[in-house]
Amino acid sequence: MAQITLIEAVTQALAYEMAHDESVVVLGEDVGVNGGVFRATQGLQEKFGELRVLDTPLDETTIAGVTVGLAAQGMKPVAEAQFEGFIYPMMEQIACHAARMRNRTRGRITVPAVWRAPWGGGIRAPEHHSEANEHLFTNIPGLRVVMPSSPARAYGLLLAAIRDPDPVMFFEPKRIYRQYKEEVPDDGEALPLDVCFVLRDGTDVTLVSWGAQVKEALEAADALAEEGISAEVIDVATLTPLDFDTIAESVQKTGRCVIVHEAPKTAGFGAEIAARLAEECMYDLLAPVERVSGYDTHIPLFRLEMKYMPSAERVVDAAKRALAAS
Amino acid sequence: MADIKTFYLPDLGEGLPDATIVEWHVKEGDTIKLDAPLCSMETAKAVVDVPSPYTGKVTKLHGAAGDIIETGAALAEFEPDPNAKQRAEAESTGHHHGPKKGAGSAAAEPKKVVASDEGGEIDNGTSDREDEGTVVGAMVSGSHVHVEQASSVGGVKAVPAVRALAKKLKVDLTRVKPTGADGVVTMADVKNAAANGSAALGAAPARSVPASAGRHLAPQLPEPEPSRTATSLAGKPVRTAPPSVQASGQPEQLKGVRRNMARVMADAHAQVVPTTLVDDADLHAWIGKQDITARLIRSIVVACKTVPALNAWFDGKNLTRTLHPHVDIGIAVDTEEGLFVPALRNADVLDGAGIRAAIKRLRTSVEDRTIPASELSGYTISLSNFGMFAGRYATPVVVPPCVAIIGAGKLSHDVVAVMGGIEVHRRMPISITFDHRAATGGEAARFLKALLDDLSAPN
Repeated sequence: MAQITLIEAVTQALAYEMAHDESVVVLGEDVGVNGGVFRATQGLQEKFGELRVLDTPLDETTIAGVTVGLAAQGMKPVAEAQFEGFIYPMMEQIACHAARMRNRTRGRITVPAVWRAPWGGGIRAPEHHSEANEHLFTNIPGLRVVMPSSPARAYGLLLAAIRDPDPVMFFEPKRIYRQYKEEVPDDGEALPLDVCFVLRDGTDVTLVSWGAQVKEALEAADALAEEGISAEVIDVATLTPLDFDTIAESVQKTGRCVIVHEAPKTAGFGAEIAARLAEECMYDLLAPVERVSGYDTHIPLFRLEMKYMPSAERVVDAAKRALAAS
Repeated sequence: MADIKTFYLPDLGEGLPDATIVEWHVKEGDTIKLDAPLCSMETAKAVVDVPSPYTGKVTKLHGAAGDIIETGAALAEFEPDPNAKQRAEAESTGHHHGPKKGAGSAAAEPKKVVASDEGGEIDNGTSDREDEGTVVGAMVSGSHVHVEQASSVGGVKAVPAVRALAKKLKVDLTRVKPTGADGVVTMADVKNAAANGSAALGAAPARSVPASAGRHLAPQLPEPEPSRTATSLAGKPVRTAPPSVQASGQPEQLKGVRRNMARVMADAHAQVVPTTLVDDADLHAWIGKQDITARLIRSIVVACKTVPALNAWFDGKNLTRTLHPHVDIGIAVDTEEGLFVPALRNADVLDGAGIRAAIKRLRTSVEDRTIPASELSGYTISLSNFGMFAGRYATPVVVPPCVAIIGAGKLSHDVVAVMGGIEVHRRMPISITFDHRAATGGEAARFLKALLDDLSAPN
């Protein structure tokens, strides 16, 4: 069994599904000859040919539009937005067509497409290369928004995303692309979409996170455990549709919740979870819901970048504030 | 001799072949601090400041303003200050050229980057260098292998992915037979349980909120097997506990209708001065089978006409009462979610069939939750027919602004003393609670008498 990184898990999932389903095609800038800017598609063009691994022009609008067309006509395209920050030109095609096609055609046509994008900061990249903007997509009906936090979940969730009959935004946390490895059997086993993964069971405080920040949440849980504080850690994994029940059950147990995300605070996806907690778990809460997030600024360049990112220390502080509240 | 370090032009964009010097911010011989601007350079994309890779003296500048420098070619030379804090050798600035590791730092090896004499392409040498896996920034690479552990919750050992799959497939993990090592539930176990339906969630009574998803965090006890055995579902010996040991449940937050009931009842208790009278209606004279609810409604209407003081609203704050010319009866309907009291409007003008049809409509709309809020208020008096389950007499609660509520108990055959002996009569126990702030005991008793008299009539 292979011990692989998150980015290798993406490659492994793409290769598995392309080998087992001829309708799966990959397209994007530099995905073919070059193997992708992060090497996510390395070796795929040699293995499956130029018709199934398409190097596109530098034109996000075209990539997104072609993806909608392919998917609507029976293919299962996996499009790569080279960086999350380059996804804005794609949004018109995604929001106006991909997300609406099932509704527009009363279920006659679906768009079984996946848009992959290296997401978030922490790699000292130039401007436009460190965006965390998942919240722009969670507000679009008809889209699934999925973010893996480990190699195994990248493999299993990407397979599930490709097999899903509706459009999926698959955001890959690039900071942890190569950070560590995991045993990931290449057995084509998909993981379930639309459910949270409870990574750590606890009784005092619930830490809710997704993508790269799950690492900080787990580190914070370890630090809290040293002080005798039992933290439950939830990896949301599929942001929309949200498995709120798992979060609610946990908060009913712990009474406290800290939401950790990299995107700016205002109207980030943490706000949705906090609002749902206020609506449905008001009387279970022993403390205000805390949000540890990026700031309402553009992510700074590398010298200040890590100051912007949520750190385990900030999560620990927030958890302690919640514990001190009651 | 001083240790001279050469700084090679990093890739200032994404795979850009070269950049033009716009302006040097230092001269040869100047000292410069780490990260201070060394020069401005223009690429095909932008003008960027290149920060100094060292703290020390600038010994040589390769090129002047306007010169084009190939990516990876020498840009400047430094004599680093041995006493100053320098960037760690292996620490990347986030700039490098192509796949070469550590360019821009002192770890760079010039012989690996060859700018051709014609100023042409650089040998990118990918064949003998490690691929960093990115064309921008600096990717942290680690070879640490992480293993997600199975956690044991509610006596079930499973990894997060298995718990998530169980939730997705609505499988109750506590009822899945584990086949993994050390009693761990595997993916295959969950899939098999889902396929054969042996551990479906929801066999237990439905809970209001949340739905079954996530129940693995607070698993329900497994359903008792039809035949008890000495081993548990997990194949372990069944634990027994002394009778004195009580399982302590989790507090459950009241929601919706049940929550509203708690508020309304507490409010009623704080305001009303309840007084209860009880008696039995003798149904011995009834001819044939009759609709008990319709008869009850008719009797209440008759009693309201006889003693209007109990078909009224009372305002305790302003000490006013409002007698109603019509009779709208609130009929208590018990559901799993809590108590509903829909209003049977204009009971005083409906005949038996009309009453039956109206009650049926109200019950149905309560059961399928289509009843509008406007139908759940504004009644003038109410009826609780608890006798259909059990109980003879009660002290039902008057909910303001109403003044009275009638409780009908379970019908029974009673031994009744009659002139000349004893007989067995069918009787209906009737309780009436009234708000003594709004009506007198005499009014209540007369109301009760009128109700009993009508209920005792043959038809």
